Amino acid sequence: MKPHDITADWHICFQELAPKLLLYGRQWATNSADAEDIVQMAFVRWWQRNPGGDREHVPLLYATVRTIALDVRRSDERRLRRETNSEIALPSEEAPHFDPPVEDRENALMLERAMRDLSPEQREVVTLRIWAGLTFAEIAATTGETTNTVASRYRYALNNLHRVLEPLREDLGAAPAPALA
Amino acid sequence: MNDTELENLLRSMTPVAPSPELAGRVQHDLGLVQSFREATPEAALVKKKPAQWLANIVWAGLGAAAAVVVMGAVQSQGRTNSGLVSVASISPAATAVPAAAVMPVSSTREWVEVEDMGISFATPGSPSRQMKVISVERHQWIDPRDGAEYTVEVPKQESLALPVKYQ
Repeated sequence: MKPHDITADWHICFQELAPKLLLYGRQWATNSADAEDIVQMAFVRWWQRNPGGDREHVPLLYATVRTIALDVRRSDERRLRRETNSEIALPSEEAPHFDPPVEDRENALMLERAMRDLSPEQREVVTLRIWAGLTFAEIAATTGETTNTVASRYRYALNNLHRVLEPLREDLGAAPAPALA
Repeated sequence: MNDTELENLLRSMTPVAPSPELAGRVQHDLGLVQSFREATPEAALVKKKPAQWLANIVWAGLGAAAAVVVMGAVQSQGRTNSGLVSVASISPAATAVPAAAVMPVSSTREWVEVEDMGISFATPGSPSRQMKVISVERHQWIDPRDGAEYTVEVPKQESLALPVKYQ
């Protein structure tokens, strides 16, 4: 029996998932190059186990990104400590996370800033919910938390985003809030 | 702005696409795995996997054996070599683990901490700076048949004696 060819049909799946995985990986990586390394390792590992790219197993892919990213970060922190001690530390990169049309660039920057102000746990849940499209149960399985914890983090995150973005409502082009009776 | 509007606003932001090279790197990795799979005898591919508990015991045993070998080597080195310890020595752990169907991925050594212990004038006329180096050796193997990855981390502590010259 010839082994299944894992080099076929991965492109479409990769094209669709890679930007979302990269966004998720950048939660932990200090720069986009490291985040790409994480995505590369995670996708290759996942595809070997799911050569068809079964949608049902996509949460596992995010969990793989998370595991690898945490490993990389642990190693980075050790390196950074060493480099800081020797005074050759490099600043982390602040490349944009979103790729909006030209007219939406400012909005994207505002949203990005608002996202950055969230706690890492809240940001992770929002990223997995909004861009990865996972359910709360899937996010809970990915992060190792309970569904209730995840749902409540999401709620707090939305509240925080509301608070930050409300004064910018007009700039963001959102409909005005209904007047209170 | 209600929750739905906010969610829609967030969804409307497209994450940045990865660099075009990333797809090439994934292609390369998958090609490597595929070629290894094809080169592996069919029997090895269809062979029934041993029970998970057995695999766990085997890997735990290999890890312990590697640790014992490394500790023994470090101790014997410490007894016989009081001067310069070679940093580029090949760890016995690197050769202890590989099995037939497991492919080595990487073997790295990371310096975790370097401590300056000061200058020693133990040998007249040739002072040396004593450095304590704490490092971690990390060896990785992958089983391309199921993507399982194995990592062994071996912490080490060594002393370096760097010759010092005064003008």
